[in-house]
Amino acid sequence: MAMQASRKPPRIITIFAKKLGGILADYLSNPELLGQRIPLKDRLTVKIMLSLNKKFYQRELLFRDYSQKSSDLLIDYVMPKGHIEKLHIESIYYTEEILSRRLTIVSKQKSLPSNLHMLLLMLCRYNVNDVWQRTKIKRRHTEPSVTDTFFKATETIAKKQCKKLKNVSAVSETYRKKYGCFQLVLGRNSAELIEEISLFDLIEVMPSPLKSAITTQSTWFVPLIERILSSLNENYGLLRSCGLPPQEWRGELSIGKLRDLKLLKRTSDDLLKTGQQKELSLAYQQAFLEIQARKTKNPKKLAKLAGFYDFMEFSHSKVGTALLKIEFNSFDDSGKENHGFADTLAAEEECSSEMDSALKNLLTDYTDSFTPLTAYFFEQVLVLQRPLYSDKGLFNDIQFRRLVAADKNYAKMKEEKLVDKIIQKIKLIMQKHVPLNDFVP
Amino acid sequence: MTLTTQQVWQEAYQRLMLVDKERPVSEETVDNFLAGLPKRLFDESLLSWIKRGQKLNKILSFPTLKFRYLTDIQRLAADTRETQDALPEKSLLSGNKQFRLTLQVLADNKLRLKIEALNLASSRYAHRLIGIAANNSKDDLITVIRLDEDGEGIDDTLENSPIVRQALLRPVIALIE
Repeated sequence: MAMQASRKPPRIITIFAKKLGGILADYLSNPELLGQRIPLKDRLTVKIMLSLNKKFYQRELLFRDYSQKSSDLLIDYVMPKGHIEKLHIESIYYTEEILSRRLTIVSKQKSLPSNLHMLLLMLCRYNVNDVWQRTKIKRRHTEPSVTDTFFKATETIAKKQCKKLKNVSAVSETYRKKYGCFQLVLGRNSAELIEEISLFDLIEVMPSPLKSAITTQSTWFVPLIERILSSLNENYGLLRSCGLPPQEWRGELSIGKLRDLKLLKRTSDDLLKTGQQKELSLAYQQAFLEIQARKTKNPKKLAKLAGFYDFMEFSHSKVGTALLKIEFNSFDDSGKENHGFADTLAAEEECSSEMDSALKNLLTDYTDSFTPLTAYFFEQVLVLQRPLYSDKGLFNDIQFRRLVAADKNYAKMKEEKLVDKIIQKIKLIMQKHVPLNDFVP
Repeated sequence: MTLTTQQVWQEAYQRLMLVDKERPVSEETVDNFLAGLPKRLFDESLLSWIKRGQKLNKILSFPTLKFRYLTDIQRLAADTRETQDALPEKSLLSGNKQFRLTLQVLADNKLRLKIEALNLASSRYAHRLIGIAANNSKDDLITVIRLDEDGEGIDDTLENSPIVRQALLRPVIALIE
């Protein structure tokens, strides 16, 4: 399959993939959302944008420009009933520019479709009309044709999308000429698909509603979305890790260069954090030399780092100048220390089953520290990584409800406050066994 | 790989910090949000769509806004200078000859749109809200302008975007109440 992510995605992408998968499944299988004043695609766009507008995603996924005040990053949206919804401009940007990005094909097997095409194909097969189960995506040189009326709407939208996308990348154009264009094929019907499809193109062209079974499909659905999000987010995530505003820098630097810059920034931050260097430029210089030395295999020929042979060249470049302006100890508006841009996105370590069972063992090894409620929360949310609010979420779990009801300290608390309290309790348990300073935030 | 207790607690801490504590966005919130928005124009960006909705809402609450068709402007093919969304170089006269529309390109990729009610219409529509729309629907409103005592009004905040230029190919003029 094309566009497979070679690395394990950052945790926040896994979390967001579950969230997005849930939203997509709910929306696409709900016939009541079809034929409304606002089309499904636009409703979905708003739902995703509002979900990203939550503080959790603002903190963990979206870029935060610490040189600007929080108020400058928000747009007041006056709801019809008068309530003001504060929209973070980055949640709009992320929905509009990152999630709407078209994936280009980079597979070695050039005739294969991208993961977004694969998602389209799989979703078509979940249509309530079983005839769609035979859908295929093929590259063909032949003209598309429609013989059945049920296929007409899909073909019309697909055609409109092809007309709109005038230019595709040179790579896609080559494949197209050589192997033919992508077509959605169903029996004697076929519709040309755009070579580089976006998530929202897919929603628009896909026949719906889908069977409700899609809402419980976790074996391929969420992992596929996770791979798609990994690809869509890669450039943005790396820019965020470097502290470079994606709206300004998107498309300027290759993924390879950005990975180098991320490593450079992290090494330099560590040098400052451990007190080995006091000045930002000196920390960068030392980090540059150290990484370059590690990368250099032939001592006679220095390796390039982020496209630069030496630190002077880097520091005078546009990106070097920008990075050297980003203070290590930035402070946000509330005066709290900013621990950097890369916190959760950098967490790429394996979350193996070994880790899951080790986490579960903490519950038995430190059983005296936990109450039945905190133990259950720990197991369900931290070990099994169960969400809190969905249909299968913790708040719909009878056992959890019983445990809450049985504890008079929690019984009458509102859900969000209750979660806060339990998290605080678990944090205290953790601090009892490992000093707080030992936790890398 | 053997995991140390420290590593396991560290992992637990990381997972704890990534618990999504906030309630998901309800469909009621989405409905309420969308109620304040017109339909999204073809190819309109999310930000432009939201801004257009807010602009309309500032003048009159979009859900209660009433759109009464007055006239439209049919541009000749020659006006478009062979491109689909070329802006008119001359002022445009409405089909019922009661309105004149003048467009000017400003700096910062903005457009100035001036609308004048002519002759008797100037007193009839003085101080009234006039909408310019891409089609005969409030969902397609590009702007709403309050005319002054002379029956004239200006909007110089319009984006010089393909969507707006497309809308101005055959604009509908409506009374907004």
